[in-house]
Amino acid sequence: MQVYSLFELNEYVRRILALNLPEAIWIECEVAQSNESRGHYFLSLVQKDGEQIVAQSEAVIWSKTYRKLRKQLGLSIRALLQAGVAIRLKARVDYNERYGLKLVIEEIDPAHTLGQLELQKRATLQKLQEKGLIGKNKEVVLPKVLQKIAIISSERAAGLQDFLNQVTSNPYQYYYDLQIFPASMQGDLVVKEVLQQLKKIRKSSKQYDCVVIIRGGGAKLDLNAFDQYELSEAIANYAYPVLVGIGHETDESILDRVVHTSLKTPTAVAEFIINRTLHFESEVMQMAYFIQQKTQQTFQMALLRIYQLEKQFQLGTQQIIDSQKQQLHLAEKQIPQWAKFQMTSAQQQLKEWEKQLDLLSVENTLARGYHLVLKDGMLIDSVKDVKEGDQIETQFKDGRVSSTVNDIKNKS
Amino acid sequence: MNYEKAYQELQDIVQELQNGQIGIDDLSTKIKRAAELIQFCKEKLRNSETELQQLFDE
Repeated sequence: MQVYSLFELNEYVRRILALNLPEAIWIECEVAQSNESRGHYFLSLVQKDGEQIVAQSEAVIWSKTYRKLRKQLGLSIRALLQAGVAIRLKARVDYNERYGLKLVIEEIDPAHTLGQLELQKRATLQKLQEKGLIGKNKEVVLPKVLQKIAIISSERAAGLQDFLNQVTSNPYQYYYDLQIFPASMQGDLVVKEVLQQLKKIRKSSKQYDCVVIIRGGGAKLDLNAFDQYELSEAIANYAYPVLVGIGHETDESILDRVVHTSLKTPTAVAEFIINRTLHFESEVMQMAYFIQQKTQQTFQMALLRIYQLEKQFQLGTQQIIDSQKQQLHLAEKQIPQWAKFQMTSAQQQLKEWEKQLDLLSVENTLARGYHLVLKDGMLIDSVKDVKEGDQIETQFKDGRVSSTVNDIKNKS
Repeated sequence: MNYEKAYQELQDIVQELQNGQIGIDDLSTKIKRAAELIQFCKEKLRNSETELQQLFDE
């Protein structure tokens, strides 16, 4: 029976591995854990079948490689090395007799991760759609003035300071009550911390007009947290309207779809808030102007009417009333006397008229020695009515005489 | 009082004025109210709660 020392065994394993896997190979897996120490990154890589881990290996990115990768991938590298990220990497299988198996990472393919994230994102979006959460926060009424503002951001986040400066030093001297609720805006803790702060704001006794989530620009992969279902769901169902400016120009994150208002940058959010206040104030001033104009008009018209009435009173009414009063006063005394007088004189008049009528009747006139002159049966009373040679008749009380005109003399 | 309420009340006054529903006797009451509301909005937009409190305490 041959007995090997442990070293001999491990050395044997190392040789077999080195022989069979002489070069670095591409592997697809998921990052389970990642720790940095003196510039080296130590990762725990897993493969899952559902929730079950079916394979696990330790891996390392040596600081020299990390610097190279960082140059190549930029800020995305941090996002790529986060727990839960699906990753495709090129690694050399390293085996050490004492420390065992370790994958030494040489390259990372970000496209794979992005692709995976895109798939995840689509699945999340679909789930949100099915639950009716897309556009739900949009239904929360956004107050006309956003004055009490809860800000979720990282104290270190680029953009927070820009936002604060812009809002507080607005040219209209509007006052804003800003309260910062700090949360990581990148890295593993984003979802957890943002959720915590959302809860804290909700539970606060203070009422806010809106919640603002802001951070400056970052790598595309860094926005991964804002595509997570849990966070999107919480924001969609949130009681306050949520405004975001998370500094990305190119593509929309899920967050943009579930919030009330999505803007490109923190600065744009500041502008939005100030403009909304300005719009409100100008509306109020317009109403004020209208009310003033209308009031002036109404008062002027009323004044004019009063003036006219006053004039009428002065010129007419008072006079009329005065004279009416006097007349009334007089009439009161005079009417009985006057009526009596009128009655008497009317009776006298009547008698007089009867007498006169009696006297004026033709028979009586003729009886008193007057006579009437007629021509062609018509009464005439002027020399102008006759000329020489005309036949005229004279009516006496007891008969008629016919005669011919010989001579006409005008009264001179 | 808040912005929304002030805004609504102002709008109602404007509406009534437009429709000629306000008689000359009510007018001065309404105008006084409108002036108060406008003042409220302008003050509140530029002052913090505490400053506002002081303002109304005076």
